[in-house]
Amino acid sequence: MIKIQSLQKDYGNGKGVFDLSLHIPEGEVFGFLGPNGAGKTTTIRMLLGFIAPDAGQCHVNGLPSFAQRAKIMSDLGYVPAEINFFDGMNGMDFLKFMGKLRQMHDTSRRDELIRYLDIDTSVRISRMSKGMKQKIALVAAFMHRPRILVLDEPTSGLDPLMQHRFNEMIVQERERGTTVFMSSHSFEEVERTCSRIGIIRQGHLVAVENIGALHKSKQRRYTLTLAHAETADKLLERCPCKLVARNGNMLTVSVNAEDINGFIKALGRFELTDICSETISLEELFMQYYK
Amino acid sequence: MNKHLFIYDLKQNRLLFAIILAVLIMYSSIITNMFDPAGNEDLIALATMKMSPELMRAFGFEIAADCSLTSFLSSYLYGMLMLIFPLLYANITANRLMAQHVDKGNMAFLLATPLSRTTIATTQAIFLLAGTWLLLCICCAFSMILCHSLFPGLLDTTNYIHLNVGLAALMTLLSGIGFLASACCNETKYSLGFGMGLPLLFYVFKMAADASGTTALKYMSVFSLFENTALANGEGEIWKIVLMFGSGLLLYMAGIVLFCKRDLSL
Repeated sequence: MIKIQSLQKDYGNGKGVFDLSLHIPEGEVFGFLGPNGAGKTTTIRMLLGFIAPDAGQCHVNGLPSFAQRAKIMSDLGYVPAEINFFDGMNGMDFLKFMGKLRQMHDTSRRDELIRYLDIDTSVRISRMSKGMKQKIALVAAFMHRPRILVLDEPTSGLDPLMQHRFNEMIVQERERGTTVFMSSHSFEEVERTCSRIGIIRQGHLVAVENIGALHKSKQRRYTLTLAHAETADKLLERCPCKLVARNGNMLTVSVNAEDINGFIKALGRFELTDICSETISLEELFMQYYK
Repeated sequence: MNKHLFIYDLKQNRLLFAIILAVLIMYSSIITNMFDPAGNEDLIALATMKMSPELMRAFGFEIAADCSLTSFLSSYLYGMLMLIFPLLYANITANRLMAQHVDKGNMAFLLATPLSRTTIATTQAIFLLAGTWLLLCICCAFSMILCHSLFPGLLDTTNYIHLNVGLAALMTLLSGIGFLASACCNETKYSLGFGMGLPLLFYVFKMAADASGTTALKYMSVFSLFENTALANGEGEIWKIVLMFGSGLLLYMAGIVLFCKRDLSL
């Protein structure tokens, strides 16, 4: 469905996308992960034919991206990373306008999504919060039931409840057989919905893996607060874990996936006042994967 | 050409159109009313008291006391006001039609529809040209009706229409510059800088050329192709009008082609 071959766009200073190849079959939900400025949006722009690659090529639905971009768009939904709507409209005006430009006659999916995401479409665009704009952009991308979705950081600005609903929407699309290409800068955001993940770093695609493999290699990290600071050394000795940071009676430790049970059992013998799990940054996840 | 995009343009730009039109109609009425069929000695005397001869020439206020109504209008109206205000409308609108959507980022949503870039750019080009010509048409028709009611039979209709066709040709060229700049720039400051700056620079050259009589400056300004005095006397040269229309349309086409080819980082 999406085919990228040796794609290159050099902006100088190491910025851009370099020799990126990727193949996403029909019906796959693909997560495209990378820190800010890694080249996610540049890749998406080439995929949609907004910019021409310096070398290499990409095809969407069998059509070359730059040359056939208008044709590609008839069966594609897109959420840009930065959302700016047209002046002088409210949410509904915008959705109607986009529907007209798409020559979309069936508005049932649009109205269903508006209810599902709980949007007040009568608010003027200039008065909308980031989250509201994000929701309207999601409706605009999903409303014509496209077979391909390209979503550039689709959950930014959404509250946890709406992030959950968004995940449900992606699951629905997956069941419908839609191909989804979704970028994000955090693993947690995509791990529930994507079946495969690619990690991009400084313009290079450094890993493409099934979510299961990544999940397995992912270390869990916890911060433990001990009731008695002097028991810390004993804890580190007896529990299958590695010390990451220590601050008085607070220990941050990392645990391998297969050691979780042993860790919890061993932990039971110590007196804790608090335990909380930490999220691991993408960079660390990447380091762990290649260890 | 896309109907829905055209309607959106109409809604977005009608206010500016109305304001510029109102200003032009007001000035046309005032200036037409200043004409004295018995001779304009008083007006010239009054103007000379306020302005030096160089300044008078720079603003295009050059008339003989016994000039015709057509010559009078061509000098007092088409020497500056009918040049500057339509230019403002056309080139502000040009900037808003393309570069502003790119600068703000909402062009991303247009590109995410099955509309081709050619369709988007052509729709905007047609809107800009149609709006600019409509503005000039309304002003021309208004002036003709006003002259007919104030000074029946004094306006040389044929020459007056030629004058306006010349102006439409000039505005096609000037708005073409604005459109090309708007289609090629990612930021409105560059789009306005080139699209409005260059025509205004040409206008300054024209003023300087008129005031000082320097021919070198005259050849550096596209405004020199629009000879308001000659056109009002029925002595205009057709090739200049054709050249202005032709090069204007070429600039529009260049804008459309370049917009289709260039990178849009949205």
